[in-house]
Amino acid sequence: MAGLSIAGLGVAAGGWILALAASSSAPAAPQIFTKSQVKAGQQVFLAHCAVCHGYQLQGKIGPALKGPAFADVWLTGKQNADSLFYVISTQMPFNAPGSLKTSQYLEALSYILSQNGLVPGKTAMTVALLKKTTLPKAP
Amino acid sequence: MKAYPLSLRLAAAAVLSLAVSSLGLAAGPTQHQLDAARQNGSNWLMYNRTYSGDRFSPLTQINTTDASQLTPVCANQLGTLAAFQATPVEYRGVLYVTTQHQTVAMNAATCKTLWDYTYVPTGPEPINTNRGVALYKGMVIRGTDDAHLIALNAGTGKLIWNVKVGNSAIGEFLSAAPIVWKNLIFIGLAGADWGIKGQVYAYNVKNGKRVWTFNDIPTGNAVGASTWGRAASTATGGGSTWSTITLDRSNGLVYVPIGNPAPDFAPEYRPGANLFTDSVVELNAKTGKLVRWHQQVPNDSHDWDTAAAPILFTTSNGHHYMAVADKAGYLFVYNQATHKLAYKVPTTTIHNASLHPTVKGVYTCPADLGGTEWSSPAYDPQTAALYVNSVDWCGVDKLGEVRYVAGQLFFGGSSILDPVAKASGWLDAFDASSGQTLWRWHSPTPMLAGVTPTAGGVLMTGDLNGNFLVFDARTGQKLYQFDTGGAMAGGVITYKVNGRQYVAVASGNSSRSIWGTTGSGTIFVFALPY
Repeated sequence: MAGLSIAGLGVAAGGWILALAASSSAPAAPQIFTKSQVKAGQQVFLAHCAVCHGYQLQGKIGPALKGPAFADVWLTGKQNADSLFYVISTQMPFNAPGSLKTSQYLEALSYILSQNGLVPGKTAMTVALLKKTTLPKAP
Repeated sequence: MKAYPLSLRLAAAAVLSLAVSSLGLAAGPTQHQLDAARQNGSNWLMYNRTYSGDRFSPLTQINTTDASQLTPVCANQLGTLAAFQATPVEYRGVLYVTTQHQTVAMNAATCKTLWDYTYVPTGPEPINTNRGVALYKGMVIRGTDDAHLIALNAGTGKLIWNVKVGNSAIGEFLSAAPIVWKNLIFIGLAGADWGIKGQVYAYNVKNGKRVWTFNDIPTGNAVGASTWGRAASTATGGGSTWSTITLDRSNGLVYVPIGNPAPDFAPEYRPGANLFTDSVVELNAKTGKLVRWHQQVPNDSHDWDTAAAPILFTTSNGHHYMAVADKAGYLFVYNQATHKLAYKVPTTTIHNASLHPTVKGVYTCPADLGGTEWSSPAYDPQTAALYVNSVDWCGVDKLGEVRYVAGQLFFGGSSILDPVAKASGWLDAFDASSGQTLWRWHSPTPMLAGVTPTAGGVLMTGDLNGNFLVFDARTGQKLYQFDTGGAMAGGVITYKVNGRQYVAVASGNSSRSIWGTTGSGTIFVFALPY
């Protein structure tokens, strides 16, 4: 169990396909979202996420999304950004999973990453971009 | 933490300046006292009161003629605004109760805090709840949400030992209330929804060393392994013990409820019956060896855990039964002589139960938060009835991508519940021999709290509106109601101190996202006026 390395499994043509996680060496911290996505993402977060994760992302009923508790899981230099997007977009908000627009999930993720030290740039976050992005080590 | 005396009513309680001796607690409860828990109405010694878990109290002071006069005696606000689903236990005038991190001992008649131990986790905590403690020979034993098992001194609250049981970074934790028998602690991991591979354990109460392990998910040549048609799926197969464990002293077996398989909503990923998920397994308490099992839901696709502990009871005509209620919305009763299902009756709305989730979604009743959650049924020998609390809540279950990310929820889909305003609950009374409905009460909220019948002819429980409720056990007539101000989703216990019968209830299960409830974790204690 501890050594399990399955990162992607999906339903395809009546069978199950296995996709291995990208395991390339961590590049320099990528700029994968814009300022406007962070700004919009803050509103999404406050409306849909803060009640469980805390208004400062400090964690309440849900886990902390800022600081060591988040970084130890996601900002290790080994996690695929798409995995984090998968968790958020398929399982959140907890009482209505998958109910937000894709753009809102991208914005919320942009806001969360910005709160963990990642900086915005000129490239907007997209689902396609996340699939080829490895999250950096915590700044 | 504060103990709140309640205005004038406290005057009576204050007269009871109960002296609690830590020396007196140090020796007990002994094995003999735990074995005699059924006859001992004065104490509530374990999560479901007795090893057999039937929850029936022989106390009669509070009865159908005077229950309407019940009054709150005191309250102790524990200082938590998170989930509060614990069941207190009581021994010699002291209540022991848990929150996520706290273990608190308080005077059972005045609510005054005697000690308060705060656990500092050393790993991630996938969940924020704890169901309670086991008491044994001066020790208070509990699990933690970072998968440790700890033992405290019952008199002082000081830590005796602390052992790591599982790896919370991959979703393993201990939220169940353990039981102890003959120096062995019994508890199981939870975390199936994170894709763990559940286990049940016995630990030595003296030193915290593991004695045996039972694998919820069998592999290789183990019994049940062939029920996993895709062997690779066993690595994340699930299985949880959410509430507590039941024990039959006469045959030395523990009866362990095992929860859902993972991924929750993608049964095709794990073809087969998926033993021992959604089952009660019967294990030799000394060795952990599997004796038999009863599976409630094969190849579950709706997160229909067998979450609440089974109960063992004997009817007046001498028949022995094991009863268990599950999240699929059924009460199952098994004949203990033949080990066959005696009957199965629904406890809530059932709709599309035979359909697996699809990508488009299937409207299903109950959805993943329906049926009987963590609180067990109760058996009343005076009415020959089984009482069951349940949740009536439907939703759309969807099949989705199956992707394992260590430490994250592993659903393989989702459940879109109806708005919480449409959720309700049931308190059912069934004839224990036949399963015929004797009466049922429809609650405006899900029913999650413990249900406790007594020899006084009353049945006590609570709802998510915060009401402590007392019914006539025979008729279902409501006798008393008190708004505690916080959702009731934990224990309702009764005991006697200095000749006076008390009822302690857990109020204040704050769960805005899941149950839509608020409140502050508080123990309320009720009694009749002097």
